[in-house]
Amino acid sequence: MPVTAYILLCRTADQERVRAALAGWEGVEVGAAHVRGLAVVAVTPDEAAADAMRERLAGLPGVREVVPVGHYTEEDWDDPATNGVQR
Amino acid sequence: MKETQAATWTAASRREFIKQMALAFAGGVLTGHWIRGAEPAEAGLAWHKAPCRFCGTGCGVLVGVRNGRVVAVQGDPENPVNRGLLCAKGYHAGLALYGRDRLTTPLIRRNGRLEPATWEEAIDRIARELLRSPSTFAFYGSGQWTICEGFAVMKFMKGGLGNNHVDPNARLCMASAVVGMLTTYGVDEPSGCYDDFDAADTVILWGNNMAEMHPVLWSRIVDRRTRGERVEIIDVATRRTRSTEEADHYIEFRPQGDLAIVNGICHLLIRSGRYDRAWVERHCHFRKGPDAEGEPMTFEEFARWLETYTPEYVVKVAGVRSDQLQLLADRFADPTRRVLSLWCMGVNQHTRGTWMNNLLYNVHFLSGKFGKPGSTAFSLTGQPSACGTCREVGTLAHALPGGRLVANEEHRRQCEELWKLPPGRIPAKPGYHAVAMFDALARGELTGIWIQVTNPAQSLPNLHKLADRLRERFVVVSDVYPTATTELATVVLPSAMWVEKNGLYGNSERRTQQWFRLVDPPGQARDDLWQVIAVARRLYELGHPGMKDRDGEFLFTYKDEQGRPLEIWKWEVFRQVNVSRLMYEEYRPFTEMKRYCLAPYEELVKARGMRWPVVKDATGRWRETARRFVEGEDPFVQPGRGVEFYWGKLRDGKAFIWARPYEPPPEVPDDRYPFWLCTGRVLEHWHTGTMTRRVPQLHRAMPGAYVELHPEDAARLGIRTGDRVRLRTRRGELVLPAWVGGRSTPARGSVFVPFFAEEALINRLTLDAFCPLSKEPDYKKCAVAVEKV
Repeated sequence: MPVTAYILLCRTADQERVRAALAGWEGVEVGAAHVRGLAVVAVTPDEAAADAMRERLAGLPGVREVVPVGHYTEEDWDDPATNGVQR
Repeated sequence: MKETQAATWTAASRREFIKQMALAFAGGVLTGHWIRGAEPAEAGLAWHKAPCRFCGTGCGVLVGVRNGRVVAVQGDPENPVNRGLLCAKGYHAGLALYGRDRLTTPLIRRNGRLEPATWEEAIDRIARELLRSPSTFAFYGSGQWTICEGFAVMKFMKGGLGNNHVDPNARLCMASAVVGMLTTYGVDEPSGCYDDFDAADTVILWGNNMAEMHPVLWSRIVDRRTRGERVEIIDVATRRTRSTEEADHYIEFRPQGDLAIVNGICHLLIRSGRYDRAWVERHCHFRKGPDAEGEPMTFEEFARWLETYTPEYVVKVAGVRSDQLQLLADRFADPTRRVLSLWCMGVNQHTRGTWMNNLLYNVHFLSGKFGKPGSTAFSLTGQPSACGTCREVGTLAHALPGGRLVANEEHRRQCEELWKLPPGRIPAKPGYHAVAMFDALARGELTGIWIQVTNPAQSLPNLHKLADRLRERFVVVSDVYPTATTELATVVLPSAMWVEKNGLYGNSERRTQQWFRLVDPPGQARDDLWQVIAVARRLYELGHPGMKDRDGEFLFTYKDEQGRPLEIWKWEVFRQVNVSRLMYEEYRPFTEMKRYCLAPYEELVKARGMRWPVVKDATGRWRETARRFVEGEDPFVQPGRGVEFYWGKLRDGKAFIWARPYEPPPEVPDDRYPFWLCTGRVLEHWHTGTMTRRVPQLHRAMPGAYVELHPEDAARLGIRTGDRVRLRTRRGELVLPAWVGGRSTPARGSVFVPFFAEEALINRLTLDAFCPLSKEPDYKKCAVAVEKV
């Protein structure tokens, strides 16, 4: 289950709205807040879900940009590689 | 105790620990209150600094290593480049090491098939082929070479074989910027730095989709708005992109029209008298002519020459509106406004890329918007060490390390002296540049080539003429994964990658960054640096005279603290010695000749990179330089000069403003090929995708190539997203799925195709016309026919 840390760039005025939207999201936790935005971490079942999570976060009203800052994938490390890569 | 505790953790508790660690880290980055060492330690997990493996931004990453494997990557909050931020590629950089099909054993082609071989066989085979015809062998590398890898190749080829046929793939991306700067102020690399991104009032993107190509630097600008700062963004482009979404103004121009636009701005500035006369008189000369030398002209002659570029003319040629041209001129004319110009491939991959670079400096010089915080012209770089290796080491057909030129007798003598070579070893004639190099291979004038850290069978233009002929030559490819180029190879050498080796990179803002080897390469993969030294040693054993210095010692002789030669051609010795450090200190004196002055290795170990020139200040501390040529910042600027271009061609501290005209593109749409074709990169993939397509997350996010169309063109042709579309140029054809109304929207009458996908080689269609000064090909415009299949 990958763990991904993000900064959601959003204005202070939008932060409550973003927090409220995230409140019901499974595996998502909001951390520090700052005038620049919110620190968020997401635990997802697999990497495909992590991709989808990023898209969901980017689509939240008030979020100007989703900036990933860390990715912890140790538990999935044995299965990266080239599945589906056409050569 | 810790290990016991860790061993008894449940997966859930460990995940919760990682989650809280990640949250604390993100919060620290966000608030700027991250304290080194404050993050909770986890048993067996060690964090180390490194620069990111991918683009030229040079972000710092922290690499988490456990049990000899990279298990996590996070942005380095202490690195001033990215302050903890990363992009999608960067935070997956660790995964790029672990693709299932990593090359792990040398391969030699026998009876048409690549078969496993020993290192001894592979090295011997290469050395004997080189010995057979050393003067017809070429070396092709990249801006992903570490500094020392590039330096070793230069010493091996130019200092050892006496052969100047060395060129990098940076020829395909940065050469126009290099020649632009050389012809403008006499020396390569920018004056400004990323600090200017934090201070500009207006940021102008010239054909540059920063949001996808340099996303962390883009975040740095966008982030200012989040803090309530007013920063205006003007996107001057041929395609609406993610960058356009944040722009205040989008100015769409006809391909090649950029030349006319910048001249048009200059014309308006002078016509209205709103240029910085004092700055120009103090710091500039005027020059005319198509070449790199030119002839002098006066300001009055320059002003008259610009009279062609009336708004009416620019509107006609470039397809912009006159109010858009006036808007740009107004920004430069405003004496209080800090203006930052940014560009990358859109300007450089251009049949007049050098001119376009010159013109961008023109407008900044005329407006005096140069050398001040937030006001500069800044060329972004595509690769992590295009600057550090290709440009500073000078891994180019005409160059020598430290800004020296092979055609200059004094420069050759200086390099021969530093390399302890007999006089006359380095030939005076420049070698083949990239496009000419592969043409010469196709013709048989070159008989062999060694390719490291790049994938020319996918990235060169007009590919169809190349592939079959390459199979007939002796081709050595050092790489980490199978690629389109290894398919053509005679010998494949498995390479170590990124933190599997010691290294140094130099980024876009002159920042040199060092890292240590953190994990072992897989199988028998070995450093590119070692490979070059091993072949050199084999040539030495076979009696090639060039592999000896003037004292008869092996070319790559380094000694331990007791003065004993280190047998670094032996892998087991190489792995025990930090050859990167030894070679870097050999290289540093070269950097002093043109006042690049790179920092000592040990200083770089301590720092998150240092921007050159790095010199000792009065207190004995090594001090970096934020802005070059600026008094008070650059130690080589004389007091009282303000700005001094101390490598200016006339040696009077002044730069050139060039009269460079608009010139039509080499190929334009017509009845048969009615669209423009533009190619480029995408956020998720690094160049030809050989690493990032091995990362499942990135591959899933962008699994294949596509052709983007304008919705009106698509409707007219009856094409919808997902339909198969045939693209046909005078050089080849390709069928791709359409993407309409997706991430970006090309201008009406044009299409865009990314080049990352090996199964859809768009460069079979692109033009190989290049800038006559920089020799950089134009991948951004050619004529194409588009039809639904």
